[in-house]
Amino acid sequence: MSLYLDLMKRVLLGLTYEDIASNTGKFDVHARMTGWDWPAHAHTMIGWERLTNVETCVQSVLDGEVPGDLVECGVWRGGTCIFMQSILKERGENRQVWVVDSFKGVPPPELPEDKDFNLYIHPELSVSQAQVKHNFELYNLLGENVHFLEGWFADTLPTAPIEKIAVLRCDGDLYKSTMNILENLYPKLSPGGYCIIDDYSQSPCALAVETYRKRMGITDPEIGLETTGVYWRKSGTV
Amino acid sequence: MNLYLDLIKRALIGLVYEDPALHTGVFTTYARTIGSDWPAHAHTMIGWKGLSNIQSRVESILADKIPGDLIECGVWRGGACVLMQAMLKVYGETTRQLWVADSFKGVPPPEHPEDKNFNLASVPCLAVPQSEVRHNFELYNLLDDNVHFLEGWFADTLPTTPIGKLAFLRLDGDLYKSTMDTLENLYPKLSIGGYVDIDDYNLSCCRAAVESYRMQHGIKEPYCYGPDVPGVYWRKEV
Repeated sequence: MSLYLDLMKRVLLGLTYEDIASNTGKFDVHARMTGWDWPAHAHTMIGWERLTNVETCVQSVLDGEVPGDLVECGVWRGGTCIFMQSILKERGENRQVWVVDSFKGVPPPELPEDKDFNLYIHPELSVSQAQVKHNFELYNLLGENVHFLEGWFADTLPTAPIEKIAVLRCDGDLYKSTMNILENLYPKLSPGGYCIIDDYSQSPCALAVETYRKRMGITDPEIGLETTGVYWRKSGTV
Repeated sequence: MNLYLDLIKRALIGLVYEDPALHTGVFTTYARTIGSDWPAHAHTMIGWKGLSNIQSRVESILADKIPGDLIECGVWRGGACVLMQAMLKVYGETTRQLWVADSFKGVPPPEHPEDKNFNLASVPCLAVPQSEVRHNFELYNLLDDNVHFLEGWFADTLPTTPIGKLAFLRLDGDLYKSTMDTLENLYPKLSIGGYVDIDDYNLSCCRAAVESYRMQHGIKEPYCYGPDVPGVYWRKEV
């Protein structure tokens, strides 16, 4: 176990300072470990298991020398991207990290698949790029290899200057956001790379994933996380 | 730079979550760097410079293989001790003990004439129970068998403490009496090449105790202090 990465997870989740949940005003270690509450101050809401999943996937592509950058689409306060960057730093790897977000929250639902999925009404999901950059700085992890792509996915992703991806983490909640990510970025994922879907427990997101997989004939097995989310490793040769 | 120790210092002073000051409700990097405020939640008030000073002293002891344990007398929420334990862990030191000495009920009322007018006994937030300090160690996954708690007034606990040799003796007891009790009982146990580190040298009562003890025992080692050292320290030569 890396002491550094273990501590990064504890701090990013707010475990070391028992950061309260924004809705209850209380700290609940179980909720924070499973990623089932929204921390008032901590920099990620995905919990211990999903952070560890990111660690496993990133370590795997580094060990296997799978080429490409690390990308998260839908970053909130940036904690997961900060964690990816800490792994690169510890290992002395110089890959690019792409931090992709509207930086103004989740868009209102447009498509019928997203009907009534109104995350746009939550102002606390809107975190500015300046704030996310600042959060990187709090950990002394804002390097030149960290890039910010600001805007709605449908606008930024088709022309994103990303060539190859080794880990693609999708955390956009909606059907439309998830589909935009997959359509624009999945073709850039290297064989041996990982695709992680945070919001698979939400039916609009799961529908986008299954629709895209079917259309593209993707049969790589999805591995379910215990708390929430799935991921799979892209098969094929480089 | 050691990434783990850099991160734990950031976490211990509340820098990563911009923990406000207890009295003003405001966070400033400056105050937390020099250790000039009392954090609302963070686990030490000695600031970045205070922690870095401890890190330098302990690294020197470990590099030179000076025999003995580490102790802090007067620990508040335990943050400085947590850093020392993190150092033992990251440098693979498996035999040294860490002693956490405190009344765990705050600073005693002034008894000695030198402490007249220096009444910290009425400041409730300085009283942190042992259970809470233990819990704080656990938050960093650092409560191991080599960590020992010495609970009680220094005059009662230190004369019979089972400590053999010390390599690092850190005093943070504020008062003349607390400082003198600590020096009289523990300085003779400090190994040659070990450090004594006095946090409160800027307080006249503490300074009087240090001067008086040095004079009584003919201690001639020069004080070390500087921009990164809030108090003073010296290295025992004879």
